[in-house]
Amino acid sequence: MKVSCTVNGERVEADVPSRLLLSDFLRHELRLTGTNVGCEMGVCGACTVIVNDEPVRSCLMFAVQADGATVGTIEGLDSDGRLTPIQRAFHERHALQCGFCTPGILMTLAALELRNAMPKTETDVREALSGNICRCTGYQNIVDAVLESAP
Amino acid sequence: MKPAAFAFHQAQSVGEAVGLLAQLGGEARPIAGGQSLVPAMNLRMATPDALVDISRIPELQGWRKIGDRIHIGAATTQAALLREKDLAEHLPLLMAALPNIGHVQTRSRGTIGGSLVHADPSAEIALVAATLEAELVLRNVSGERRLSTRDFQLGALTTALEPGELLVEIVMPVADAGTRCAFRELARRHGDFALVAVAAQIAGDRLSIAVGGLEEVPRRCDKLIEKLKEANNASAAIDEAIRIELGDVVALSDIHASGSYRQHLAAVLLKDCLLEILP
Ligand SMILES: Cc1cc2nc3c(=O)[nH]c(=O)nc-3n(C[C@@H](O)[C@H](O)[C@H](O)COP(=O)(O)OP(=O)(O)OC[C@H]3O[C@@H](n4cnc5c(N)ncnc54)[C@H](O)[C@@H]3O)c2cc1C
Ligand code: FES
Ligand code: FES
Repeated sequence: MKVSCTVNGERVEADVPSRLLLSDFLRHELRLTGTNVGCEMGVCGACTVIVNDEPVRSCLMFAVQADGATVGTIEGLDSDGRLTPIQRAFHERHALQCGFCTPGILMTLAALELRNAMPKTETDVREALSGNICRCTGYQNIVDAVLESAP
Repeated sequence: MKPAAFAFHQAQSVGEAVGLLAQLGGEARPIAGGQSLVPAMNLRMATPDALVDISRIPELQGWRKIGDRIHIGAATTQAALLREKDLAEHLPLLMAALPNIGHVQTRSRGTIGGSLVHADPSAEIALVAATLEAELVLRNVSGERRLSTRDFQLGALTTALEPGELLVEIVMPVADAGTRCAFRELARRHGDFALVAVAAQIAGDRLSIAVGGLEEVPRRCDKLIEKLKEANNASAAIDEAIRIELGDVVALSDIHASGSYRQHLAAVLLKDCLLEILP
């Protein structure tokens, strides 16, 4: 089936099987391997990308369902090669270890930022990131980094 | 590729969707948000040979107030509902329940209708629908029928929906001015399905309260309501009313929680909610 969408500002057209997951389309077809894949059943959040300004699990969408959509992945977060304030805070606060969860977390936060819905308290940060599992950090440094970068 | 192959159809209208479902036959399924269906397909627990995507059908989006009822399109996402500030005035109980469903990413796509059709025993939307005695509008090629939630949800993951039928609208009564409501649940981790959840609402002296996660379908607490009514909804009668309500319950028991723990939780959450809303 034909799918045409915009990924990180670039127009993409492809002919894909309908059962191709959006996550696999991004990784295997477009070679955007920054979007990680963990559970492929919607639980871990590693595959989070932004579709039409909303954070979604790319493992729970078929590529054909992104037809006509605007998709944002971690590769498009910094357009001019400089880290965003949140990325910088993650770096400074040591909010990642292996980094597997990081793209999903950053894309979730970027989507919240688009709607001016960035969490401002520790409870809100933990709630906002409840759908992103991190097996390394114990979350504390992630929470600190988000709170630090909140305006 | 994880899921088995299927043919994909993007429906533009309800008429087209029910037509496609009728024409494609038994193994075709609607897909709304895909937040329950796609995990099942990725695990090959579900292997539909065709999907009819209903998520872009304009008629199935959004809500309207008609008289003293709110009509919600079945494919409205949970996130879109949460953004509707006006809805908090009309359906405060639903709005209190919505943030408990999954996570921000699953709410972006998961729909109100998909949740009702999936019919998980712990689903928050099914619980609110049972508490408010919502009416569900189903449509197929030959027409429309309306069912109460009680007649719709028949068991765990089982509804009265027939093959070829689409849930198109959920109808809930507008909350009267001065309505007080409470929603409580306990889950292992934030965003997990609740072990037990309670939804309660009182308008004047009319109390509605139900428990989810305890049995296969949400339990409307008619005996508790009756008992409290006899006591003029006095909080001193709460413990006795809960005891009577839960007396004959055979609670679900699984890897997440034993039946007796669920029963205990139900009593605790029922009491919390009642104390919060009773005058
Ligand atoms: C990590 C995670 C956590 C979750 N946590 C919760 C939670 O705490 N509480 C909760 O309630 N849910 C939870 N869910 C499930 C919830 O997100 C889903 O939105 C919901 O269960 C199904 O809605 P959907 O729109 O995604 O439906 P889909 O997955 O698209 O469909 C589900 C089923 O309903 C059918 N269907 C869908 N719409 C219609 C319709 N209009 N007419 C007829 N049939 C239809 C489909 O054919 C399919 O059989 C969770 C999911 C994930 C991945
Ligand atoms: S890979 Fe998509 S949520 Fe885990
Ligand atoms: S840094 Fe390793 S999973 Fe989060």
